[in-house]
Amino acid sequence: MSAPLNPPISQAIRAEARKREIAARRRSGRVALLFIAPALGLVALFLLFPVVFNLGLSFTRWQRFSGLDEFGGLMNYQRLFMVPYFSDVVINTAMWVIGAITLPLAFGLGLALLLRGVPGEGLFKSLFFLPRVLAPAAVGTIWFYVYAPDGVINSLAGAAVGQDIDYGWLFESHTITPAIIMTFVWQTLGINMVLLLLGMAAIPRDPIEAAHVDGASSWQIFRHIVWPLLLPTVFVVTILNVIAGFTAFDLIWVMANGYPAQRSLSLAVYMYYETFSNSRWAFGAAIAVMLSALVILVSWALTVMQSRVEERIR
Amino acid sequence: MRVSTLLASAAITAAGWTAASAQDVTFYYDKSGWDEGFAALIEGASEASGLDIAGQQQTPTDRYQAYIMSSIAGGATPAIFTWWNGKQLDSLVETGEIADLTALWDEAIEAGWFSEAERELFSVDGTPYAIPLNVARWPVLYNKDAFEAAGIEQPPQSWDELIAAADALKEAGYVPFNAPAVGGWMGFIWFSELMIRTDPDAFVGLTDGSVPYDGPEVQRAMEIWTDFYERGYFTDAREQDETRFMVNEEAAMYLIGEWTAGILANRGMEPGEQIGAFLLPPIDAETENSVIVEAAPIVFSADAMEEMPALMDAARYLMSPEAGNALGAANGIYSGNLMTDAPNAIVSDVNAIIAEDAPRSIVRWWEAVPPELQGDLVSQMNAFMLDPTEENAQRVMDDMQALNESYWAFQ
Amino acid sequence: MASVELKDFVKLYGDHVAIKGIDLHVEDGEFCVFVGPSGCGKSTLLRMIAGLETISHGDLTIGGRVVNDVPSRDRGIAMVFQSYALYPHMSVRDNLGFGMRIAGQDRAEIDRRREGAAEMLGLGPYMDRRPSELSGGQRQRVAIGRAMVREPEVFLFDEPLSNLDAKLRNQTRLEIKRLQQQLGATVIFVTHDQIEAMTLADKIVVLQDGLVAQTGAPLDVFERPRNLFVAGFIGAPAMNILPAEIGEGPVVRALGLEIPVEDGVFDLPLPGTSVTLGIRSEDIVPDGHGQRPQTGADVSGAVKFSEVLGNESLIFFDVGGVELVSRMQRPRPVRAGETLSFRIDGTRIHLFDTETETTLRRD
Repeated sequence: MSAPLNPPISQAIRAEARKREIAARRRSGRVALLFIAPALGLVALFLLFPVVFNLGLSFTRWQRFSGLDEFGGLMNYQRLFMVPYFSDVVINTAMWVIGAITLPLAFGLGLALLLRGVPGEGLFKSLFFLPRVLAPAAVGTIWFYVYAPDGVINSLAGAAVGQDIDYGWLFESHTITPAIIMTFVWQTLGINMVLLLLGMAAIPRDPIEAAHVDGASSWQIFRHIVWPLLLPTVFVVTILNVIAGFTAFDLIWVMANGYPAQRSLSLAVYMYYETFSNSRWAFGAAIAVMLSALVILVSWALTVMQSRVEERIR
Repeated sequence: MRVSTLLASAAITAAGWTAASAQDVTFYYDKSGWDEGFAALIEGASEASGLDIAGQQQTPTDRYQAYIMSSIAGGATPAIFTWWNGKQLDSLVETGEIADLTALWDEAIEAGWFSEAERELFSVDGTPYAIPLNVARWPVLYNKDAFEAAGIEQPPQSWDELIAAADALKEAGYVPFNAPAVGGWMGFIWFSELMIRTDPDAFVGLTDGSVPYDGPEVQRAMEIWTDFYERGYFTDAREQDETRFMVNEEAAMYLIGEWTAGILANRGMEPGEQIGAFLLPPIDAETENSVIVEAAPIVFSADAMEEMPALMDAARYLMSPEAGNALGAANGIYSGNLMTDAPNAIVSDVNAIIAEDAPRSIVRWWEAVPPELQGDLVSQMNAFMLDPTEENAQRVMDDMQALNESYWAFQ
Repeated sequence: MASVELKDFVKLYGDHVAIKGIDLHVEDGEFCVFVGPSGCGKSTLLRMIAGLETISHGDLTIGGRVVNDVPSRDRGIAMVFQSYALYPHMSVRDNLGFGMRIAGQDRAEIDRRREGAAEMLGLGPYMDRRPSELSGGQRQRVAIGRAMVREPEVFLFDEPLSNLDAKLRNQTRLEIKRLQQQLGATVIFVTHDQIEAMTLADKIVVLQDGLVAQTGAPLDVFERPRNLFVAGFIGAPAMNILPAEIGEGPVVRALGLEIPVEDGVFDLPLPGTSVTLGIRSEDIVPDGHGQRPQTGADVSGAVKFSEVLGNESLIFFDVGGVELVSRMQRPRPVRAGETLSFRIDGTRIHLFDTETETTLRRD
């Protein structure tokens, strides 16, 4: 007996099949639309509309009481580069982004590695995570006094070196931004640690044991096995940190008491400052557009990298 | 989460609207801590006008300004609201939405409530567009016990006497001046005072772009300021409790608005008994004597005034000695009305000094400077206070002038 | 290659005793299989040898050297994991070379060994693929290759075939056996599958509850189970186990039958003593199929159901309320309810002490 032949499928059958597929897809598409319609409506009303409105605003001359109906072209965007302390804003924002990417990640990873399997792990995890649940404004207020000339840090440092220290961490132009960033790190490293621990928990145990048998030291296992497999999580954490770094606002607002000489301004604070304190609505909108564009660009680049890395280890 | 917050705030706003629309008129203000006084003013204004007036407080100040500005831009000017004088009032009046109060001022001056000097504070190009909520002069408040301990018999009448007094106070263990930089705005206090004590006209010139922030006039003020810091005349600018050094009697003098007398009274320093006031003397004998005046205006919508003529009765009441006394009794605030009772000894002291010396009233820098420059410049002044060296003084002057130049270039 | 010696192995997890004292000797070049149900401790034992678990008590000697405190990498072992445990982010080439690379081997040596393993395992075409692009069988071969390039003295396999489909499993089993013979390697292989154990092992170690139930060559374990556990565990389908009683003369009474017993095979207790009787399915021969045993007893019963395997059928039938299973060679179709006659081979029965569950067979 010969093997079964492929029976011919007629054009009519093929056409009908296509029709049925499309109908089925449409049906499920309509149902899906029905379910997401409320969410879509809310997003359109509270997110898309304001974004488009803001974009439009950035091309007007609106400031203080008037100018909403005057077209200003790219005036507001050009103005940004004419601000005398714009370079400070850029440097501070860069410090924020770089600090926010690297420090919580590094400390979070270190803690995650240290805490794995330590007695009281759960307690430590909760402790390190705790700052995350505090409002940034509250954290800022607490740390303002930690950094105060007669605050905890100076007291400890003074006790260590045996003399009184009354350094004003938040009053010196070269320490204010790093000091606020460290507070941010204090608040963020917990969530970084938890996410990395989750990522590590998802790494299968076997390749690590295999590497152990293969003769790898703890460092080599981390470097060659754990780290590459953790990279997708690292990227996710990085994206969150980048966004947090670019949009850092509350802490600076609370801790940089009047941001002396604008030495602590980040782009996000600058945006608020120009919009609400100086009532330059259109200019503020332009800063918001620039900031969003930057955040989207960097996040997008990182997302692309993340999916590449994930692809590689799957 | 975010959506629900938005919905909630929308609901609250809607509720606010319906509550407000039940009234004939809403009186918006951002002054926190004066609730009793405002309640009394609003009650009196309602009675006087027969209108149903409701108060609506909005804080913080930047949100309040944003609210008022967008209301005006959207064609819904609030009927009554507090504002700021100087350049802030200029740009508000430019919108054409604010009622001209010339007739009311004529009446008030006729009645002896106010003088031309006050009228000038609330005028734009000679036309008064606002009435005073309060008027505060900026004297030096001083600790009488400290002066006694340092052997200073009477407040200094000349610059030399001031320096001698400061040195004597230092000798007696006091820091001569309390000079905080809290809240991001206090940096301008000594800057403007030293400017008016060296050259009042140059000070006014700073605020309209005709005098540069790095010219010889400013150089001189900054030199004195730096010198005062070098001599140890000022408290640590990093202190966050602005009256702490006065209350604990580490510092002896405090250059500030006279309303601070109320704050010190609350913290146990009785105006008149422990606290006195004097005006800082001019540095050169030939310099014109002057005083910085801070004035908070109340303005009215021109449209509302036209629709409801009774609103003018409310305005008349708010200018009256009764209103001034109500505010003084409730919150110790001086309305500026010449026929009100001074709410405390400091106000009466300052009234007496002004009656005797008749100094030139100068609008406070904060109101006099274009609002767009306010924050940028004052933060430079704050920065100087945190690092009061000669080099930093030069940098601050350069940066202020750069900001100033770029602002005026845009106008 | 090297021999492996376990002396008084104990493993404690807190208060839980996982391994309760095991002595074992694996010869140089021997294929030793640890078999037992899940939870018997076979994987723990292997991981202790691999150095992935500490040895709570006892000594491990590999090639004459006590290696209790020697880290995995210096024990001269290589391990193949159940999940293959390949490095997912590395190509096959890098998976094979990883161990040597971090050990600082020179390139030529790495390439030599890698090419050798690749050739032996037919991995050549896949060298640049990542594990996710390989089939289960290919991954398994990479895992074996990774063990091979280490040129270990002892190979450890932890249930390496259980993730493969049936056909591939048989094929890979053969390959592993062939490879072991080619390399002359000492292998310790863990499985729960007694067929794998039987087919691969030179020596089977049956583990039960943290202890060795029996050690021996496959046929030895199959033919002479030392206790009821081994008897039930080794062989498929499981041995028929039923209560019985010693009769007069060398006879065992069960199911109302008198089954004659070969003289001298068992230490029979006094007549009337209860014992446990074990009969493998192939020793209950249906009439007309296969060779009819000479010594034995006839029994008939109603068929409950049958499993047709093609070359044979398993007939489950009822005798006085007891279910027995018989193996029918060259089967014919059998209906449920049909009554069949069988003959039990008296020379191949197993007898156990009912109390101690140990065999009554003389050594």
